[in-house]
Amino acid sequence: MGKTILIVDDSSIMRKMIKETLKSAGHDVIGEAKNGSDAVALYQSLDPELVTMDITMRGMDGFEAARQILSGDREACIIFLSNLDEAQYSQEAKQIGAKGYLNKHRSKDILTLIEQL
Amino acid sequence: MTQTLDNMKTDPQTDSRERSGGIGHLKHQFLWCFLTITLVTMGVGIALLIELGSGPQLDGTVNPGDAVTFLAALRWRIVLGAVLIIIAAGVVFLFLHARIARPMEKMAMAAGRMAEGCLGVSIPDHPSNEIGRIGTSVNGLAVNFQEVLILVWNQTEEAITKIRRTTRQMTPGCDEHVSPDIVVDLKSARQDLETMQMMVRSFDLYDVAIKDGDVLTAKNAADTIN
Repeated sequence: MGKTILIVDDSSIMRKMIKETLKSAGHDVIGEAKNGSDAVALYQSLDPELVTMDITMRGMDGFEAARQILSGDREACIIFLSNLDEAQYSQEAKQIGAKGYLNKHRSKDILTLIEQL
Repeated sequence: MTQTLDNMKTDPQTDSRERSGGIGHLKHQFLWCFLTITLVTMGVGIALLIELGSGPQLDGTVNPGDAVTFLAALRWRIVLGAVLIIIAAGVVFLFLHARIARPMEKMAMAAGRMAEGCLGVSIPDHPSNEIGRIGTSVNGLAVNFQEVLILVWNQTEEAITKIRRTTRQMTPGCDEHVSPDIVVDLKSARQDLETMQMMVRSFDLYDVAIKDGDVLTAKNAADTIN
């Protein structure tokens, strides 16, 4: 069954791509945020089952947004989807409490990752 | 409908009206400026006309002393009226400078730097009129462009790694079946990819740096150098 998902990315093109990927697998994208502070506000109002989170964003970055979301809801399911080097940043993502880390040029792998959750 | 914080805050009807070219904030601001100058000028003009109407009648029986006093008072009222109009024009100028000229100057500077490949700059997205919205849109273009550049970098980096691995496996003399053309083609493809990477490197990216082939945050890249 499809999940309700909040996409957080400062790039509108990337949000569109991720949305298409998720919708093709039957997931429901209920919200989109273009920075960390919007993401925290939308998470609280929409209560999605999953969040895809970019890291580098103008304003509040993805790590800080994830920390704030997880401090309010320890069960929040966050997957980082970033262009940054996976080897360097996946560890930090795990420490924060994220469920996964994927590089954007393999963004289709997110469907497999969601199935495994 | 997918929710964003913007469409939760704004009235969709107003938003679509403004996007479709209806009266936007900028038009309202110009209208207010025009009305302010017009009303002040008209007010001064009407006050002077009333003053003229209440003065001594120029029918030949006027007392020269009264006429001189009246003209002196009228002269001062004209000066006062002119000062009022100048003050109103000054206020309108300062308003237009703060809300339009200054943001446009900042936008022109930032857009110029973006055009030179510096994607790290961002245009202030205020004031909340059409100029602010242009700033937001230009920032969005820069963000999308950076996204494409980093995607190109990551894809080319992976492709170059694969070509290197394949080339190593095709060491001349080890495999008689490998055509020399394939080796040349692979070398050419690698050079093409490296050219694309050079193009990506020529941009200054926002909060991101490329270090030893990896895409890092600017802070981490700086820490690595130190």
